[in-house]
Amino acid sequence: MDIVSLLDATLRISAPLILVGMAGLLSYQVGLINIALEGMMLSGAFAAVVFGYELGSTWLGVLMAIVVGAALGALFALAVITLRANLIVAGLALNFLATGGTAYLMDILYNQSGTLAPEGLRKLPAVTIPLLEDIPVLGEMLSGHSPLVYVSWVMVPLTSIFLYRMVVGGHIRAVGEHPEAAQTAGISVQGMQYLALILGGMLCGLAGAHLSVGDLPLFRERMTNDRGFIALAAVYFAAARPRLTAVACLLFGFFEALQFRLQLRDTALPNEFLQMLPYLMVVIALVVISVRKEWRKGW
Amino acid sequence: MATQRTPLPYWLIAPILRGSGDVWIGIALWIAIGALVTAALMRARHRAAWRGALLGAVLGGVGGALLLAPLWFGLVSLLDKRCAHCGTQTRPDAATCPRCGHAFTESPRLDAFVAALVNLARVVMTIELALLAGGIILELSGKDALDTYRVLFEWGLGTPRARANSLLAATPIIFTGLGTAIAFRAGIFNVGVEGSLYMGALLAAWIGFTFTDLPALPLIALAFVAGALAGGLWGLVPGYLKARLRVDEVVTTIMLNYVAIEFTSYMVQSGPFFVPGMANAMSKTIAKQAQLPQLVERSQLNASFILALVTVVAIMILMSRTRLGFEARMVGDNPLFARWSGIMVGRTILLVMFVSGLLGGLAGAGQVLGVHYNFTARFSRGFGFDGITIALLGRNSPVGVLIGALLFGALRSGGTTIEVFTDVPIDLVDIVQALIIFFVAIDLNLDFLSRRRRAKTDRDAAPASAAA
Amino acid sequence: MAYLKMAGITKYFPGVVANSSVDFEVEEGEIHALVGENGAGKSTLMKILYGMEKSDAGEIFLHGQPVTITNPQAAIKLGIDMVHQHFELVPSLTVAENVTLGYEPRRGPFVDRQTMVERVRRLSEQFGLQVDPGARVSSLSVGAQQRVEILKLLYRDARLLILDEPSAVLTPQEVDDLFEVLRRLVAEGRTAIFITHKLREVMAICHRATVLRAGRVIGTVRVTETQPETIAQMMVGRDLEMPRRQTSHATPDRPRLIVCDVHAADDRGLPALRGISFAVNAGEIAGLAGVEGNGQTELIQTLVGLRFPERGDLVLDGRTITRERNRTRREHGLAVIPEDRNHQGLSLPSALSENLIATRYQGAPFSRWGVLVPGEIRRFAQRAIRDFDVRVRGPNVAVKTLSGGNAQKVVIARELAQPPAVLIAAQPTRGLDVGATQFVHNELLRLREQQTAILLISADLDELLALSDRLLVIFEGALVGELDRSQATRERLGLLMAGRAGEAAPA
Repeated sequence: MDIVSLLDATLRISAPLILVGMAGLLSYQVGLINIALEGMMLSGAFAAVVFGYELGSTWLGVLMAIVVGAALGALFALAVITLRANLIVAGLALNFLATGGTAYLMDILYNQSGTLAPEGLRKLPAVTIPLLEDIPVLGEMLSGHSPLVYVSWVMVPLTSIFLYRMVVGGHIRAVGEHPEAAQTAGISVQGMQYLALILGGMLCGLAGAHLSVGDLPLFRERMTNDRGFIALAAVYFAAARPRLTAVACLLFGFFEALQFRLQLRDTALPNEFLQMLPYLMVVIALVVISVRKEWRKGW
Repeated sequence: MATQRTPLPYWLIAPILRGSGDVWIGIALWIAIGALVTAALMRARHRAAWRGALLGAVLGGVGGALLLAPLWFGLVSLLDKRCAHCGTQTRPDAATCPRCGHAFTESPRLDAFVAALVNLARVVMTIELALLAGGIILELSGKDALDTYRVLFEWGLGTPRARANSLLAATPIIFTGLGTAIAFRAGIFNVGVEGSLYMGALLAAWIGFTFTDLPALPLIALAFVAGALAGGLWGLVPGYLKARLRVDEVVTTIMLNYVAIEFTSYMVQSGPFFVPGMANAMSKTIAKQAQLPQLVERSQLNASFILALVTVVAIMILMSRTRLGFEARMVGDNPLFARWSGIMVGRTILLVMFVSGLLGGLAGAGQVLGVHYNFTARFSRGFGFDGITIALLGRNSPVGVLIGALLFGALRSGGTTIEVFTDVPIDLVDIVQALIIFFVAIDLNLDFLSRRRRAKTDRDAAPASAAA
Repeated sequence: MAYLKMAGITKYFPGVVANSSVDFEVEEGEIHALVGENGAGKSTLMKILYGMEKSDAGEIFLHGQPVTITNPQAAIKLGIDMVHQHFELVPSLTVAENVTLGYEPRRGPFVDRQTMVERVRRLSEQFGLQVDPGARVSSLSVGAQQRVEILKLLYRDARLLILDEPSAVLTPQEVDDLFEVLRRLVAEGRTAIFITHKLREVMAICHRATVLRAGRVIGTVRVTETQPETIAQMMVGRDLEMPRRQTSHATPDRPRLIVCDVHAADDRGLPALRGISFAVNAGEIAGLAGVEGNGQTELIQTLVGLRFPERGDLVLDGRTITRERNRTRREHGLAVIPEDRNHQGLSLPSALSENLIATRYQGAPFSRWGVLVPGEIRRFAQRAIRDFDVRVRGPNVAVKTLSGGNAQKVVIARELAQPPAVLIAAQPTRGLDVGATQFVHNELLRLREQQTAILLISADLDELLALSDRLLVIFEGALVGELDRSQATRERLGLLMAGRAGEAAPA
């Protein structure tokens, strides 16, 4: 097996996971379980293709994906925070809305079903890093990716700085941990929740754009393929620490890349097991965390 | 689910119940209903232009004010309370007489009746709202909303066969809805019925194609029992984690759903149940005698629907009349109190999760034995998630779940035909379902404003009771 | 002119008048006590001042200028700030981050950490409030957390500090430190309102005291010119009427509850009970006195079976129950009136009848073969409603609609429906009005006559002194004193509760 191309694929596959992971992390930090990541990502993917085609520029498509992600984040926040809908249920609803809505719009607007690959839409240009690309192995691995891959790497330290160095980030964490304390300190709890969900929506939109116009310029129904939940798994696995979450996303991306390779050959390890690995790991991680702190507690 | 719901604010049910100050809102609502319905009818029946619809709206509004409202108020005034002391007649939800302050004794039957009425109205209104919103979407995208809905309902409810197909579609989601509802009622946010459904389906299929020598009845019974047990045991996993290790069930059940889906796919894709010649990922076909008898001709509606109805009754009795049901309700209402009173909270959570998974397993077994006759990888069209919607729609009551499931069945079954007979994409059904969930999730927040008011009074009341 | 004037403040809650045209004035530079029994309306009044509640009528003047305070931020801008009874600190943030939360020193959009820590350090030195600005709040003791709360107020430059029962969670030593800080604050021109119901503290530190009772102002007095008894009388409006004690009903040689060398840990795994031993005899009320947070909660949980001891034994009527679960203990005759009525004692959304059978639904006559018998349940509930005079429409009404006194009657009706062998009564009259309090006291005395062994845990010394045959004092998880009723005085109990057992020895 070619290790270099495997790692190359890992980086490509984990990029959207990292972006969505950061989104999930933001809502985790503000105290909300965000089930709707999946739907926001899917809508972003769709928006990138549609607007990229209609506006004649893939980059404008990416921008609109972010806008659509933000809008859905705001919608979710409206339902959950202002209208006080149940978090999980509203999240499921948003996911349904995204799958149904994108497919419906695809049919209405382009009379297509299943896949939308408008002619003339180009994927984002790959980025070659001048000096790096000349280094034999490393260059092959790190250079030549879609630009959003590099964006996803930058997002990790940015998220970290945002949460731990900036005033707003501190407020978000305070709201997530002790809303009353934040409230009396003059911090708008709802404002912070809206902010975290909208920022999360933007990141999801970006992740979706990477899926649809980062590699092949096309949109497929349900193309996000539960990546939102894998990212959520990574967030829980890492207890919402930015760097650790990114590492978990890379790990899950690696599994997925590995599974593609294994599919091509006959191996003892069925790829379904690789697919369920992230989910199992979260369950195990949650168990370990609570075993460590439980039992001594009374109620 | 942990959220204990308070009764509807009075003005929302004003069209149903007459009330002093709120009566105007009630009349307004009836005018609106009359106007909307008549306008829609004018447009649908006579293909009238918008002018006709407008005329219909006006006429209907007048009709609503003059006919519907008085009729309805007269009807529901029968529910009013009369003070034994001074004879004052007052609204049925009053606790004390407004004139002399005399406290009314409660009448549980009436209260229950009113509550049931209110809930029915809520379910219907939620779905109507979602359809209305879906209609707006249709009109916006240049489709004929009324025509689409006509097709939807004709093929959902119009003919005996259509009705049978709706019941068929309702069957699995009755089970999953019940399974979700009893977990919610016990305060457990079990999103994992979908996983149990897969496990149950797999095991039922295995029984069905393995013990082919058994006669029909024992084989079917064995398959159902095995499926139910598989689902129940699968439900016990997050149940154990929650009860004994206090791991949050929302995340574990979501994750375990995927584990179950991947695991069962593996079993038929490359695992022990893999059938070499088969193009799709599916197991062997179950024995002929294990296939459930069909109830009507030209439809796959089968005996598992009967089982679903029986289960509704069984769960009703379980929740209201048994010790386990009592324990589940107490744990759902206040787990801390349950512990202090000697209710074994952990055990209750385990049992409820077992029963919840069991119902999921039954759903899966029913699909295998009655519809697919084999196990197909990823065969569930989100039955588990539909169950969540229905449980919320039916407010965790078995009858509510049944009603919700029947409505959803019609929607799903009719939905598959709209693509055939109109140029509307089938995905509209997903959108409508999403809207229904949204409206349910925000608790049909027509009462949004008054809920804020109530939340505020709750906050106010808290310091009063705990004042220092 | 008064520094702060609240005039005609009225506030209604559903079914209650929390404040009824309250007039309240505070002079600049004083420590003003706001005293009154539980439920007198002190907290409500202060929440109105702090903008957490909106008054239904009345005005607030600061320096003679009318002001409107709609939220805490508005209050903070006016220099009014509050330390809540339950601290509002974010556990995982550091002291400095908590103190500056919402008002962080910034460098652009970023937090200026250096300045932040520096300012907090300077502030803590200036006022003698010792805390490490870099420590995480979750690692601090309760006393230190309170210092962080006060630092937070000072950082926001509060001129008028409201302290809501600040001493409830403190050790006597920490209370003295708190007083020292308060004196320093008023010395440099700040003003403090001190909510309490402890007269000793009023006498020790306050200049003036305003007494509230049932939502009305009874009067404002100068502390130096007043005897504590006068204030006490203003608070309760009568000579505290406690039940006359009858002759003892105790059967000395018949211990129904024996607690032997019990050790237990608290939720954080730290030792909370360190070798507790005592016995309660049939027909005896043993009162457990102690400052809140000295192990009472853990002791109750251990007795009830919700927390298992690491060492030691529990014996109920001669049967060892150390390892038995709650349900089994109840079957053997244990009954409990929990501390937290609304969460531990009742299920508010559930029906009254469900609350009443929650401890005995398992067996006949309420259930058979796992199936409930609704008729029996209903009859039982109706009888309980009648016997205990619960004012309610019927057995299917949700308990959340009941008033505090009626709700406590439900708890008592459940626990005392059959006379228990042992009753643990924790704060049984907290938050109740006079009538309901008397009802509870009478029930306890009636039970005592029926040879129940009662352990009474109460924060109210008067209640303990009036009802108990014997008094136990708990301090830092150990019993530091046992007094017969005849030897017990407030002073000796006070010393024991403060952990000064030596000084409390009889002269």
